[in-house]
Amino acid sequence: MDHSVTPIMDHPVPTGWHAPTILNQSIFWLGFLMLIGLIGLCFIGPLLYPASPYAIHLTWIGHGPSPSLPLGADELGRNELARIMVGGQLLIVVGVTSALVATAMGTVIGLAAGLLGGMVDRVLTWTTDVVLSIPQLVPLLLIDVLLRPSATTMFYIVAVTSWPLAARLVRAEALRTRELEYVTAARSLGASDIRIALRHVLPSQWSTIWVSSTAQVGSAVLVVATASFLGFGLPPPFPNWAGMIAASTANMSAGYWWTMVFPGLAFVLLQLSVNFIGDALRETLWVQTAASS
Amino acid sequence: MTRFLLRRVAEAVGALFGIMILIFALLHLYHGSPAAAILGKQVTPQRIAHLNAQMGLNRPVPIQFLLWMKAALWNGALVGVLTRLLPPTVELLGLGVLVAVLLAVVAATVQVHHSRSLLDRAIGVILNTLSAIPGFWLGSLLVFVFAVTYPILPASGVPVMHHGLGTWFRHEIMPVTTLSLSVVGPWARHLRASLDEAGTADYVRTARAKGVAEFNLVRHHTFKNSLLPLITIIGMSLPTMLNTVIALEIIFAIRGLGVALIVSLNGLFFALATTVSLALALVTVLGSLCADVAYGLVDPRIQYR
Repeated sequence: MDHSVTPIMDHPVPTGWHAPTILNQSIFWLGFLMLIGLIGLCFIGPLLYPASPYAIHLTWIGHGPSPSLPLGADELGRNELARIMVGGQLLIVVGVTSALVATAMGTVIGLAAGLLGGMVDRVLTWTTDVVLSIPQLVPLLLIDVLLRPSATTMFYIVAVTSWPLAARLVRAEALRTRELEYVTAARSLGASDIRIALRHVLPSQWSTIWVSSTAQVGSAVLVVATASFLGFGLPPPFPNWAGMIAASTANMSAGYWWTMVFPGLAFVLLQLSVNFIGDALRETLWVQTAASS
Repeated sequence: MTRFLLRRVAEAVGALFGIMILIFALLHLYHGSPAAAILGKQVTPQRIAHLNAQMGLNRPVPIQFLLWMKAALWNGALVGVLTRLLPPTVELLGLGVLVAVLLAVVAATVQVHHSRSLLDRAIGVILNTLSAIPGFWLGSLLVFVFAVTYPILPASGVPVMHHGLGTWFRHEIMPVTTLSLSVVGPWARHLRASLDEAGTADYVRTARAKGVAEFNLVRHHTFKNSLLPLITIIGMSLPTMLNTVIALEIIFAIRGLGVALIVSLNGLFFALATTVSLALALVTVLGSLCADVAYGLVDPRIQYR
């Protein structure tokens, strides 16, 4: 931390009204607009472009992008644009909700580990390390096969296997905050553990929690997509981008490049928008930390 | 050093034990009544009880766990799986890490040398974009372009290395490229940040003042210090990389642990799936152990205790 502060000595970090917030970072607005655009495409798009994502038109097979079929048709002759619109819905919903639940779980576990210390900390840290050391796909696929594969199953498994990321960050921050004077002061006034956690430590963690939640969304979306690509996870017939890419690999020799390129591009835009928002959050957090130290 | 290694191995064994408990619990929840499943619908409770006793399923759960663990570790299944399936997976993972490190080092050093220039920004944009591209899509695209449309690279299978280094190398090009590109973004960004931070340190200013050339400055002063955070993030990336490896093995038909996992799960061969899951966990656990040892090799100040 001290190294990063040195260059700032010459140019005092603006505070108060001029403190850089996330709202005046162009990268945040770029990510935000991309995300809103994608959410609009997936959830409002089907209302404006009411073509069926399921209807099979044998005559459309092999049709590339054209004015009547903007993104072409897939290997069964289904409207690719309609499928891409619907295909993002489950991915976004499952990715975002499971990431938020995982962040919440990780926050609680990280706070408990960092503040209670002792045996609780050791057990929780060990569990965190164990879960972090397994490739997430392994429990994901295993449980998905054991239970019935569905979006809900996927949501639970991803949430339950992703919390260590947030837990580790929050624990590290809680360990640091625990030693600060105002927490000691609160403790000496007789505040309970829960009160210290919620009123004194948690408020200073929000930036960490936000940064880790964007990272969680990115990794949750990726792991759900990878599972769906492998044929587990989000089940057909409801389309999803990863499943569409998997289907397109089956008849690559036919040369329908659009069935592989467009779902992938949509996915990359989703990841980019989340990354941009995360970068902006991290940048703001960094400046704020530098200003307060 | 020995004591540190022993403690880390003990921790790794502990982690694997935890993973086995997890897998066992999952399988136990699933197999409501294997005997009923085997014997079918028209069967007396006595016969179910008999088969349960035969298979040891009427014993207490902890005993069942120990028996299951013994079966998973002792009957040679794990050894057989490891010797056959581990090499392709580890080869791909190791080469991926190696290439990604090289790419990250090149990208980050170029960025630091041309800090705040157009080149710096361009590399930043490329790295950002790469980290948003899912491995399974990039792999499929590469196959589409370089194996189907312009057939210049082999798309499937990796032959054993001693059958000819040339063919082996050609087979590894696409999977390794995909794997390394999927992680190089965050790695280069971390390395760049730590190179930047090292660049403001006092000893660097001193070195610069006494006239050390920029290249030697990086080589002798800042680079080694900046490697530490990189090693940490490599160790942390291994599980995520293995996720990608599983997908890539399917795309490029590499007969490693990933393909074994998918095939066994599709066929509901849970014994094999268990062993393969354990082996995959073993790879990451051993990988992070290697990262810890490398950490100490790079930084002699680190005391192994």
